[in-house]
Amino acid sequence: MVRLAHDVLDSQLVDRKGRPCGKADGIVLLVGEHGAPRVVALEVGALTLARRLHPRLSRWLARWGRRLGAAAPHAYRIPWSQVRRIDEKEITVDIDAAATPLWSLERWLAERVIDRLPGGA
Amino acid sequence: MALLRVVMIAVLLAAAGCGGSGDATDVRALASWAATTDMVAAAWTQHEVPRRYSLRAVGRARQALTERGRHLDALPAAARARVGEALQRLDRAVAELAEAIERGDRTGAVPIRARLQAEARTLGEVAAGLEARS
Amino acid sequence: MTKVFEVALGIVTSIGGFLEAGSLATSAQAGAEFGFQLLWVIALGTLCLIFLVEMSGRLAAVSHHTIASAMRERFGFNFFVVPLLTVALVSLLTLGAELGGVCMALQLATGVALQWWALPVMVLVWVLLWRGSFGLIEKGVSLLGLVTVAFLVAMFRLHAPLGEVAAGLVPRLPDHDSGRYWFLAVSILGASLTPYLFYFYSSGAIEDHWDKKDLGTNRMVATLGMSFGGILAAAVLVVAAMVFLPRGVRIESYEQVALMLIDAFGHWGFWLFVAAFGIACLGAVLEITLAVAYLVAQGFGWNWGENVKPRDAARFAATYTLALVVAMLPVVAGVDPLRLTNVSMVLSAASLPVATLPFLVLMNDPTYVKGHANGRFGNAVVLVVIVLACVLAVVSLPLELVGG
Repeated sequence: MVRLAHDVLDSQLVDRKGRPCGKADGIVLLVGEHGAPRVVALEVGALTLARRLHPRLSRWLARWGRRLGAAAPHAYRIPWSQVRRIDEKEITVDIDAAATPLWSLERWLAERVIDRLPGGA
Repeated sequence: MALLRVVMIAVLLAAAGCGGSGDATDVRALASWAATTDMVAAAWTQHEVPRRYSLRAVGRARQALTERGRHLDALPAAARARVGEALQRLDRAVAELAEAIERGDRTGAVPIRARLQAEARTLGEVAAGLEARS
Repeated sequence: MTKVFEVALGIVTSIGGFLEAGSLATSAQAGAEFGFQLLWVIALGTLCLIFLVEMSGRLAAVSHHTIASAMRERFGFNFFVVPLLTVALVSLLTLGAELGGVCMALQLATGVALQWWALPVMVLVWVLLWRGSFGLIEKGVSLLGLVTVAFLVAMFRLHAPLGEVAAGLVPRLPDHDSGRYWFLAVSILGASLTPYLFYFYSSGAIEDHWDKKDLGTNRMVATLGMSFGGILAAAVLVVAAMVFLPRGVRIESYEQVALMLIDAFGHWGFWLFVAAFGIACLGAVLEITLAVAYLVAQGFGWNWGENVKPRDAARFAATYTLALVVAMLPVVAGVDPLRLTNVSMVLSAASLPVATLPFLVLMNDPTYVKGHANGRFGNAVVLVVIVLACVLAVVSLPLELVGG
């Protein structure tokens, strides 16, 4: 048995290479034809967090964030089928974080800023 | 809202409280800076602190004396007169100390110390008198 | 043998890490104005800190969570955002005070105005963080920080009246200037209990891969290290009481504090003070900068760690860089470092309930600490001290700002 709010929401996520790749900021449920909700995905990103604080904050962040291009805030969904393991410390998901938008800000900072400074790599 | 009200009341109480006791505190601070310059003078004449530090410390003391010296209007007349005179003598002594340090004249700085100590004592006495009254 | 060495090193680390601008300035002010009367506040703050630091290490060793990540997981993001912002803001302010302290030490040494030191100091700190490892920073700075033992030596060289000193450990009401007395009391509590200290400690425990085997070490390091740190702060107070009180000098600027070791050490005194003050503040700067970056990275689940190359923890590295720049702004703007220190210490006291109460809940939650939950005594001490600190802060901060 998995208790969604207790064991999943706000837990640390790590990808298949063991890299921390955000927290389970949101959980996406789908209500089927017969009214039984089913977990379909985990949602990760600043837009999800902002929506939890206030929906208007999320819309505002999305509008202004677009200017950032590649590093814009997002709400990325990891399908529930990719969840491999849930334990006390973290949730392991079968993705390569660096290939997803989860890594966009990290990649942007690494390539645009850190590589241009001495001793960063 | 309740917290805000508590803070507001605390601020008002504080503002009211400061008007009463601030005067003695200001005179205490003047005495403290007089004593500080004497400490700096002592350390400098005995080669215990570098010249540039001494200049800065004395400069800081002068600045503090000027700032604090502006808030004496609320003092009782007798005390205000006594503090005003002490402050004038103190200003002269501190200025001379600064010049002596600038020149590197340690022997010239030694006699200034007695004057600094005298003003620190005078100011301390006035502050004690004001504190005893309040 | 390695265990003994590990414990010894841990203790040395916490001594070097304890004394910084905040406790140095507040202890010196307290001694100069009230003699030994406020010593009990240092004792109380140190006792509470021992408990908080021990808890922080225990949480990390048992649950493999830092305080920040456990807090977010347990209470959810919408709650976590409050302690996150509070601790981050208070820490940035404290960081500003410590950076001001490093620049002030350089001004004392060279006579060159402290604003000119802001940029070089920032670059030095940044390079240390950028290139250095956690161990290098923790151990290197702490070993240098042992120069702060000079305050303890000074206390004995001045033949402090130990009977009167001991009497200062008994709590009492002030005999004059009660507003000022309580303001200094809360500043001392804020300086002993700055939240970054125990938030940082749990991150360090994770960086050093602690587990249940380390619980004994943790208890020893927390108790002995923080006690020695507290003794150093007490020594500063005692020396200030013996040097400044008889002369009627009240501490309003660091230029005055700089004279404090001359009676004990002669011409060495000034330079010992400058070295101790500068190094202690530099150590605190490194710790707080990292603490802010840890807090943010752990709160959002980024990869973090001082042992990781900046490129592999880009957001983490960017956060500490930004924290340094933001915290330096008040120093560059010419805010008096001592004033900044005083205000940030009171604010850190005021923020304690937000920073520690959720932490206390975690430490009593078997989901996280299993069979290693807090005892009643630990809970009670922390609860009483932080409530006291917060109430005093809320009452006395307006007093100080209005300029009483």
